[in-house]
Amino acid sequence: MAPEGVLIIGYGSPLRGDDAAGPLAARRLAARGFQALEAHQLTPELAEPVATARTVVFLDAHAGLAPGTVSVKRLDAREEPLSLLEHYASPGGLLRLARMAYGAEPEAWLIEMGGEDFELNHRISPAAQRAVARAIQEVMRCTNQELSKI
Amino acid sequence: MRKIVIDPVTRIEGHAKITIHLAGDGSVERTQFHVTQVRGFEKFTEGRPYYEMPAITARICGICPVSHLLASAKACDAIMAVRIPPAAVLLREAIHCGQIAQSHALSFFHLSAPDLLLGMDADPAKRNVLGLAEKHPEIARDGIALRKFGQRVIERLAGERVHPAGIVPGGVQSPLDAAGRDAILKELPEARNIAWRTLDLFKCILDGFPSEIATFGKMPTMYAGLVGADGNLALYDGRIRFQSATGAIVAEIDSTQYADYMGEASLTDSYLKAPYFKPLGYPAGIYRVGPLARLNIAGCCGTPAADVELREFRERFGPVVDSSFHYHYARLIEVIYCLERLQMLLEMPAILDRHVRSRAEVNALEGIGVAEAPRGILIHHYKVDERGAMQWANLIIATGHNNLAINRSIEQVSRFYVKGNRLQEGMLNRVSAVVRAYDPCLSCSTHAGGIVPLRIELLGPQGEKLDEVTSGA
Repeated sequence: MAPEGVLIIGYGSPLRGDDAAGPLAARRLAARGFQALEAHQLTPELAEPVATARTVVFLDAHAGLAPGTVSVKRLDAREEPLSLLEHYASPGGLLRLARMAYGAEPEAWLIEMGGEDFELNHRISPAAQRAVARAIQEVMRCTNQELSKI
Repeated sequence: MRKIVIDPVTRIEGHAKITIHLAGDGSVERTQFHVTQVRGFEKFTEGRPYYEMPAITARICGICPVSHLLASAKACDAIMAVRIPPAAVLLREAIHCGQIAQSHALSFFHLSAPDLLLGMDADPAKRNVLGLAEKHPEIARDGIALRKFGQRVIERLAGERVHPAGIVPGGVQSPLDAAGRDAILKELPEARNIAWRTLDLFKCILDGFPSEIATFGKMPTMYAGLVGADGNLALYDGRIRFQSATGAIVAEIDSTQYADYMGEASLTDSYLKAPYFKPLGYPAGIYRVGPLARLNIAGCCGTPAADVELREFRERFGPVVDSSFHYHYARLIEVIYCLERLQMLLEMPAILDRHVRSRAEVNALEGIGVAEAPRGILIHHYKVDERGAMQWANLIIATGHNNLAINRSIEQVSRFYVKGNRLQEGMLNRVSAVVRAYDPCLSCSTHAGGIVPLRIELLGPQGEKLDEVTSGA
């Protein structure tokens, strides 16, 4: 059963091959009962659901990581570099906006997934599929840790 | 001659730079607005089936894809020579209202409010939406909520918030059910409250910008936009009205006649063409489009609250409002109009009709579709062969119509604010802010903004650097 108060945000372009790993992971977690949002990119209005969550997990593909691997980072709105929020928003920028506009400071994680093919297509490579599976493991681990604190 | 280059101009949609040429005494001699990217959609759609055009051209823009969908689908309707079902007309307009509300919210809250509420001379590191959220969290929340409302309207009626597939040649993809309609109607009152609150706030701060009002493109130009059969504001469909600087109607034409009245000049130092009113020639045929132009040419809005606001707007600034600073004001009145109009459309029983799409093969080899995008008139003009393969396309994007006006506005602002050999960030911010007043959409298919580096160099006659201002990076 999915933990309450956990928000999953998977983002990336479904037209750019492995860039769709974030939305794909979010969809799979939604099937397990998580509250999960899919987006092409982060936008400022996501600050509102971020502000109502206890824990937020951002899921994103990363061209700079070894294909199939994942990177897990704990985010802190206070420590994130200032990031503008125009048409593109970073996870840190969204957290800062949620803190400033709503006074909310959810626990936050960024899980990035290494892909290998970001050209124009609708396919997810086998390596990115592996990364998605690992990312889901990490989400379960992160959110269970959060739950154990309650 | 010395030169200041603002590259890139920030808090706009797309990529542009501004060059300011200085005379020997430090005064501004001339300015130029350069759009530094090329899209190429007109060329690379050649050969594609016409019915793919709405989906392809929606990718031109991530902010106003609905406008491209509408103009493109209307051009396709003309190629099919169909009259689309009444419910489809209502749904298309309702989607359009949602889009204009969210796009105007983005322009006001995210792009321009930092200048207007934090100050043109505020610390540039904080003059952004995060700085706004820090100082005025309630306003940032309103901006987020209003934009979210508009996007949810698009999502509910057309399938997705960005690049929806719901608007198709011959009508719309799916009918609306009562539950979907009621869900939007339930959220409308709060969106309307935000729109009123924001307009009230803007009216209160307006008197703090007398110099900007007097210099941000305050000039006589023609205005152009769509009007309905009653001469009132029309965003989805209508005739194109050209109005003089003094308010006289110069021409009112069917949109299929656009090429007889609109010429397009190519500029040597910008990828953005410069449309002009053909009977007056280039550049005398300068005209403005978008929210300010629409309110100037329309008899009235046609919805109660927006009309009250329009009357006040005209009482305050005259029957023809000629400062481009007032695009902001006009934009907020249009948000109120869109929300009222959306409610009217949703309360029409016909909007729930199940018949929403007409089907036909190619019945005409040419089609023109026109709609009012958030920034002004958008024209899609296609020619196809007998099989429906695209042979030729002409797209006149709303921002293009304003190219000449943006250039003149930059020059006016620069002449007033930019002087001497010492650069001040605030004065150059005003040069960028006048561009933002038009809310230009230059990138269309490019959305990346992020941390935008800004470097402004002041160079001497031999190219020596006299001064430099940097930010971002």
